[in-house]
Amino acid sequence: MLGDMNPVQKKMLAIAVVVVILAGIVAAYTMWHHQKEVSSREERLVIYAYDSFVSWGLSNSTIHKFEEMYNVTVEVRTYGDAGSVLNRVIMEKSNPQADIIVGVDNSLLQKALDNNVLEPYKPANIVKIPENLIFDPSYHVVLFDYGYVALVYNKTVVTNPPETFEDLLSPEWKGRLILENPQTSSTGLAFFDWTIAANGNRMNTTFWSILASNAKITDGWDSAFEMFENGEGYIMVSYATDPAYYVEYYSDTNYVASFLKVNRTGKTTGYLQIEGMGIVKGCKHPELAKKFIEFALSEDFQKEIPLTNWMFPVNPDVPLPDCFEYAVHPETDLAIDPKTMAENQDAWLDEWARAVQA
Amino acid sequence: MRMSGEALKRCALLSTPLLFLTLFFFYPLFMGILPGINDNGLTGTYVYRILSDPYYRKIISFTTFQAIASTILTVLLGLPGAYLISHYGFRGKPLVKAMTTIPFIMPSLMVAMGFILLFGNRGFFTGLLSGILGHPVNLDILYSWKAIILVHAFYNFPIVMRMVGSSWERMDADLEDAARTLGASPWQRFRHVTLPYLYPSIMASALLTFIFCFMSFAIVLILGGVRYTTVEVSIYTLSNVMIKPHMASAMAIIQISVSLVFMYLYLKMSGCSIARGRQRPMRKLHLKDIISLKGLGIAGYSILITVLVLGPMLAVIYSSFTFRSNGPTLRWYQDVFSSKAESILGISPVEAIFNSLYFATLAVSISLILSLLLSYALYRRKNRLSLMDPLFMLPMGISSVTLGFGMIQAFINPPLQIYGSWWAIVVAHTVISFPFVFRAVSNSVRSMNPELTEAAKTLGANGIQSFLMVELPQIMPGIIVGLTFGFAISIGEFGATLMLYRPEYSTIPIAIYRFLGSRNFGAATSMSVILMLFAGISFLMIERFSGEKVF
Amino acid sequence: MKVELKGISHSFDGEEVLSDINLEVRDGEMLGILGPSGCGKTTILRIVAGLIRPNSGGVLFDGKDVTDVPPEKRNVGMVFQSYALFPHLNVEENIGFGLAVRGKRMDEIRKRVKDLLELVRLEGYEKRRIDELSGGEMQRVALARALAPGVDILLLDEPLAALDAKLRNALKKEIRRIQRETGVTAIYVTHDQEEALSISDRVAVMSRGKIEQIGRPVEIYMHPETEFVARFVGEINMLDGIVKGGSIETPVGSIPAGTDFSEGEIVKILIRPENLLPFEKGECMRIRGKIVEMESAAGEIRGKIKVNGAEMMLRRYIGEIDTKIGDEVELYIPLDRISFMK
Repeated sequence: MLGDMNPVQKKMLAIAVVVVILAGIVAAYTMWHHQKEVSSREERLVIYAYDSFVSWGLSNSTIHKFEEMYNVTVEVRTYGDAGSVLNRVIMEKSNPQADIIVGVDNSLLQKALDNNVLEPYKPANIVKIPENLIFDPSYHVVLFDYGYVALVYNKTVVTNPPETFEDLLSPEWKGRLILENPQTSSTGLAFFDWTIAANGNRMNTTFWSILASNAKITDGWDSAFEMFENGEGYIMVSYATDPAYYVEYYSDTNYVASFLKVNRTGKTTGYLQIEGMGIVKGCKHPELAKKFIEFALSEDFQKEIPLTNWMFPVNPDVPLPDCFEYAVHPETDLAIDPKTMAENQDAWLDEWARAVQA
Repeated sequence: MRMSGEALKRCALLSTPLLFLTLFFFYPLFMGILPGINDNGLTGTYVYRILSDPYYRKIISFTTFQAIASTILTVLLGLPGAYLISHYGFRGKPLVKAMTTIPFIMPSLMVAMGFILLFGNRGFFTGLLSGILGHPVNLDILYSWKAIILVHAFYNFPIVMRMVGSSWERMDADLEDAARTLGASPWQRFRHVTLPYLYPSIMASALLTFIFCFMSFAIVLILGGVRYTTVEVSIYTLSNVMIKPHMASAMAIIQISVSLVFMYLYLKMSGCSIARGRQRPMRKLHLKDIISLKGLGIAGYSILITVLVLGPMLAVIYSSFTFRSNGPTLRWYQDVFSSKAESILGISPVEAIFNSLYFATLAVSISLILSLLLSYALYRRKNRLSLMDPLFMLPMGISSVTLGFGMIQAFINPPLQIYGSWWAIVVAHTVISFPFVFRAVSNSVRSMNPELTEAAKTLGANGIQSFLMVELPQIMPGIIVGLTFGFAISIGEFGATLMLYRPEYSTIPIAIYRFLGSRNFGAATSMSVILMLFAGISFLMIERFSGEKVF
Repeated sequence: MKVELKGISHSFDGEEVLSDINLEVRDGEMLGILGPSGCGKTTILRIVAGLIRPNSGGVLFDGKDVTDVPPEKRNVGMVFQSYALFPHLNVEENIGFGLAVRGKRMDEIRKRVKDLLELVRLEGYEKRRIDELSGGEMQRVALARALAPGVDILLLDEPLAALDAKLRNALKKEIRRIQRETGVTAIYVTHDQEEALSISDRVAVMSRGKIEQIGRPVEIYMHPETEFVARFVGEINMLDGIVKGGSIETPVGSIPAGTDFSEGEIVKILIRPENLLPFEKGECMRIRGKIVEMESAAGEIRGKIKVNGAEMMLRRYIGEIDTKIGDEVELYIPLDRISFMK
């Protein structure tokens, strides 16, 4: 049959076969994804979160319980750091895809409120939470954990760590500090706000201009951590719970976290980063979203936070694991009140960008 | 009457690609830049505000400076390579050419890691140098403008080497011989014969390099440190951090204007006709070539390229097979197939690989059809460069930030509500791979022999028959080059995918990114090796059809 | 099949390449179109093939208007100057192409290709690749391919231009033989006058988009109607003359004027170099002059004789005359070999 065909007919057949195969692949792929959607349960809560919510395991250790409790499917989508996630929600404002956004912290709060992307909800079990941690009294964002940004280093390598903000500018640390960019990283933003708070809620142009040439400033916590691990610097801006992480995973007690003083005689200060979640305005499953917020404050969720998100749970009933002995607290807390933050954050960041420009 | 029929046919051919590009490229692009000129009416305020602010002016001038410096370094690095691949034949040459092309599609996160592994404080070469000198050395290359330029050279080296190399290969050997009989010294021959001949291809590759360096984003963000901000980073910051869409779009408009101008110049340069004549036979690289002054030069250059271009890739491959300092391991590859990886990605990495292959296949298939239609409509008869051409190549010169932002704006609302579906990713990949496919296909359509088509017609073949039987075989090399290159581009695409994906539509670069973001450096490296493997195979396929223009 | 071109005019980019061409090719005839490059002869061929649609005028095959019929439906075969063989197909696939696109079955195609290869004397060449063929072989394959579908009209565009002289001669005869055997109507375009005159039944001489003269080769040679034809076809001596008292006075002597001319008229006199005879033959005109150039090559002697200040070319066979440069000679020109042009 094929042998009788002339070359033109054979070619036509070959083209037809290619087209059919391509169409088959498309059909198969579509069917496959369709199958997956159908096989999952009807109700589908969509959560937008920062990467480490999934990659460090908090999502994995809590979501299944929620799914079973309410017989629903939860889909967690991650889009980089907390700032990028919020940004995604803002971009999708006209056609919201998410029900819940996880990771709006005290530095990002105002941006979320300004863009009017969240629906307020006051969960019933918020009463258990210490009032001083509640950073959004309007309950657009409900907190779930907190932690301190701190300087992290190996104490066998760094024997005389910087004690004050001024110390960071010392030539001794040139090329040995790893910071994160406050414009692209929420850790970087927390550290930035710490320096603002330490300077009486003002952006210190000279300080940052010197610091920027003294330090290596990366785009995010992940690259900073890679650099730190690869010996690109001795001191990294990270979290006060990091020593606990090193103990838990590597049984290594050489890594320590320390805080900075405003001046040499004062007490150590820390900047509290409080993370929260909120219901996306115009979302498809608002009732389910409310249930999830309640769930996030429950012990089932809270008890997983220390070892998977490496932050402090906000529910005081939850016992901390042993390694958290190595997590440190500052002597005093520095904070910026939401109003000042709202009015100045953008201007500070703009000034910062100009200050660090080479 | 027949004339208007001809025009009608042209319109019909044009309509599909134009409609596609309008809906999925120009419309999103328009949505992306609209805020920059629109404030309840047309306005130039924002563009003016940027141009009059010293901070932004400094960003623009630094971007230009680093792009020029990167281009010069890339050209200097690429020219000897072009000489080597055009003059010498040696074993494994296709492999070397394919390997040195891989950087072009490497995810920047991985490249940065590669450079840190080699040149960082604890990097391989830093250690080597310290060992030789007997005291600790700090190369201090990274996290400065030097790093940006070095990595840009790494990325764009293949462009210069391949474009200039293929033009050098086609140079009429009689030209140099004629100059020799006229008594020209080697330097005079190079200066007055070879260089003027190579000029268009050098300029074209330099212009393309300039465009890519001008738009650079992730490299500047990761390796440049915050002190060196480029236009692209500033667009990102303005739109994603400061939420100042007007200013971001105004900045994007400035960037696109530069891109368009340079794209036009690039097309003009690369369109310069190449006189073909007697081809110089490839010289076999013999032992005696290697032990000579010239051989020393070749060896030195090869080492430089190995360090700079292959080094970062080899470092990634090496670290994918090692665990801390405990020697060789396959655990990272096992990790890729473990359930832990699945929980990080939301799908298994195997599915991510499958997704990548699927999106790439579909994207290049659509790109191919569009390219064929467009090439036939534009170049079948005339050969002139029109002002329209840079527009079709523009996806190559548009930042992924601007495009991704525009795509979200365009696809999230009616009438084109495809946001969240896998079609959106395929569409983005199609748009991004299109210029590469189009370039290869249109070049071969232009160089088709029209007499063969006429012969087919007089023999009774209708349009479809003569296309299938006579024209398709002629443009097949171009099609294969375009398809494989587009495939590699799609496989490596990251920026736009990140904007449009959902976990179930993760691709290989997304998986790498997610692994890196979750302290799974090992899994990230092994996934990168898989990506490099796919790209490498694609480029090896192109080598089989060498002589075809890639860029 | 009869081919007619009626009032064909065509221009490219505003430049007229053909103006008001009227031409008829008779059934089974070989028509040569002869002219210098750029005269529009290839354009005529392409118009007949349908590859170009003329701006005005019509093409008729056996009286049927085919002006708007696309080339693939005209059933013509064309041999291109560059042969335009498909490089990716072998000999059999090239020749069978026209049959394959007509939907013929493979066994039928094979048989027909075999017959055609026999016709062009390339038996057993079926599986050869095109780049393995010599120029002459490619030419034959191109011819076989053009004929394969059983065409009514064969168009040949400078088919021998790319070959060397010896091969050209042999192939010219082959083409003529095949055309006679198949009885196909053929148009043969060439810039080589010798080729055109020897192969064609009739020749159309073209210049600058116009047909200067159509006729049998002998007519064209012996009685060129225009100065262009006279100069383009073969070598010729051209003299100015004036009619005076019943004879035409020329620089080399006078010729009886006959009745065609009136007193005082300016006339051009055309004499082929081979008609300068060393002996008298019939009624002749006598000229005396000095040999100023003389060279012999391949059995031929070519020279120039200077008569009263005017130089005339002469051509004889070796042995017919025995002179050297500087000799005074007397030569004879038969009156019936002299052409006049007004």
